[in-house]
Amino acid sequence: MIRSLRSSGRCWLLACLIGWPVWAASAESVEVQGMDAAAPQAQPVSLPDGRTLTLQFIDQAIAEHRLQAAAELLNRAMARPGGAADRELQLRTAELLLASGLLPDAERAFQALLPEADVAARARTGLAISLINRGEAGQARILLQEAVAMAPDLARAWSALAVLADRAHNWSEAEGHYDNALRVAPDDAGIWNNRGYSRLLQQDFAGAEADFQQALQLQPKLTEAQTNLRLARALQGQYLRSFANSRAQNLGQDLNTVGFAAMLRGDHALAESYFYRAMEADPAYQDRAAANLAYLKAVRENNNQSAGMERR
Amino acid sequence: MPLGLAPAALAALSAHGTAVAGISEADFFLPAPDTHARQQLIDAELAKGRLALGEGQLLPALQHYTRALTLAPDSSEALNGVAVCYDRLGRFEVSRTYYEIALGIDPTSPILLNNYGYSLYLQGAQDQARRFLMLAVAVGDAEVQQRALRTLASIDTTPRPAPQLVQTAAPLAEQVPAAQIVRTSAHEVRLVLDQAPAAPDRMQLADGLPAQMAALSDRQAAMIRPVAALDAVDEAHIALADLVDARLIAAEQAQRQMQARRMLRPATPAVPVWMQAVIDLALVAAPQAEPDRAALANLFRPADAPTHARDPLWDAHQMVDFSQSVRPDAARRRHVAALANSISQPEQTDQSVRQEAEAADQPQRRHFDQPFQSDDAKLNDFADRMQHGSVRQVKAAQVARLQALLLRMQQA
Repeated sequence: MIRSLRSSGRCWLLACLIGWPVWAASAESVEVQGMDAAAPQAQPVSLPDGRTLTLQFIDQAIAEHRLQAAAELLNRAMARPGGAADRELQLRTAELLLASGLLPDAERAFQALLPEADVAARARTGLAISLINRGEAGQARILLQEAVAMAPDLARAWSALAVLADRAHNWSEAEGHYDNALRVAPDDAGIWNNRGYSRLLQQDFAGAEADFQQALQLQPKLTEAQTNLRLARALQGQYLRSFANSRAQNLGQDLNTVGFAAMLRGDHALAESYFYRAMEADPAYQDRAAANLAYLKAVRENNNQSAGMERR
Repeated sequence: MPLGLAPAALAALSAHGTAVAGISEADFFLPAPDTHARQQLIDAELAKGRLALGEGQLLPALQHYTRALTLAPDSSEALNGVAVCYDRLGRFEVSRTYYEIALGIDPTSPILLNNYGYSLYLQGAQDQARRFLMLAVAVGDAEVQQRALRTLASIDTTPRPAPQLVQTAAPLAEQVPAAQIVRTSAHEVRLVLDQAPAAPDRMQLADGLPAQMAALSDRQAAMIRPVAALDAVDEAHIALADLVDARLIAAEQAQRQMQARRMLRPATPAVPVWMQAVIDLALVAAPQAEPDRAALANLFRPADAPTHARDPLWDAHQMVDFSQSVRPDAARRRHVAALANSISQPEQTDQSVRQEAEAADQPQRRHFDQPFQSDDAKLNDFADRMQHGSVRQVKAAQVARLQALLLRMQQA
């Protein structure tokens, strides 16, 4: 679980990429026609144009990590007349490079867009997230503060600022940034997940559980929130409940996660049992569970030595 | 160009995944840029694709639509055809990309909006599906509206999971005062367990598992049993949540079964039998061109029973013919003619396939590890023939074995 938590930390940062700008539909509004009384309720339906739709599709593909699809859509859109000069498409290209882990390329692409007023705030946010991923928190913080000053409704920038505050263990500042982010984007499951993780770090396990549940209500397939919810429940000692909706293919990971939580709580015998079961359930977890078992053994020996010294 | 670096990375990213296996431009003769000939070729490929798709031949249909796409990369009909093929092959991720490319080119096409909405519905993305189906209803003609409304009705009748109550337990600050997760760097987490309390002493062996874990086998379910159990209040909460979940799942399954039965119910004749007979007589009295006659003769007959090659659910929701929404009368004629053809022609069974199947059903000749040995020479002879076919073959094999043995001895 130590490694799982590390990867969860990466996902935490990656989750910052989930937020994407809200698009103003540049189209007319029409009423649904030809529907009878039993049909779904008639609501105004906006007809977006092709460019707007394409940008939405690319954003969604990047957010769902369907990178090949995003690249295909971008290539097609760029190949159309005027596509290469379209700054929104250039911004999506930079975002795709960032999501693909090509950080130097992504940073160059974002930097090229910094002077452009219409995409400047988002370019700063993307560049800052790339810098955070490279461990350059100071410069990233400056860029993010500039971004929220330019566009206070940029939820992704608020979320990234909150992540930076979490890293500095500045919990009150982090809460403030999360509040700003959720005020702008209350339906963003990634931000709820990040705030839950922040509360997990603050040992507010019940609050964390509520946030993860909220994230999963908004996006039931968000695997990071699923894992974090198990962790939050197990950290409250609700081990059996931690396995709710567990599936056979993920059982090894779940056993390892719950074992890790049991180790944190001091339930060493139970943790050992779960680590062994994780190794048995999923061969892919042999190494991780074995590493956790070794760590658990070291903790136990350390505790025994301390107890022996106290007795003397 | 500020993003000169991007094309290489993008090309690398899009190099895989959506390419159609086995079909490349090298396999296909590209004509000279004669616009008229090219357009004819595109139309021919699209028509072949439609025909193959109508017959349920997905791979040939995919091949034709891909060829059309090679000739006309921005053809929304070809993109739609490829996407429909991938939908029916169950490769929704690929189909989604093609629909999205097509909608970027033609965002107001009612057929594309309807098909994309239906594809999203099949993938379980109901909110997104609703958006595009509503757009299809708004811009489509009567036929598209009908299909889109049918899918919208399915979405509305599908029960959604009830919002979960947020159950929070008492804060653990008192129970675990010193267990801390300390982040030491970007990807490093350390544990501080110095003052962690001992294991709680209120644990017992769990004797039941929640229904939420029904997906796990008995062996796997046994793995998640803690060495000790929760207290009675927690168990009661879990049992209540399990009961609610089980009832929701049962209700959803019942709803789906009812919906499937409704969709697969055979159509009833729109006119009495005697009227169909009158129509038949009239057609015999005044013969017409063959396709129209077949179409009229079967106009009021119920649809044919679903076969393995043509799934009525797909046909009821998806459209591939882009001329349908523009010319509904012509489209209806074609639809009726296709229906008539599919009814009047008996299902063809490949002779060679049937022969292979019959041969496979024949009992296999038994083989014996040891030849039959008896004091009766006739019985031995019979056993040899059963095993090897004839005495001559047996002797030839024996001679061959002896020769091989001699050869090995000489070599030794």
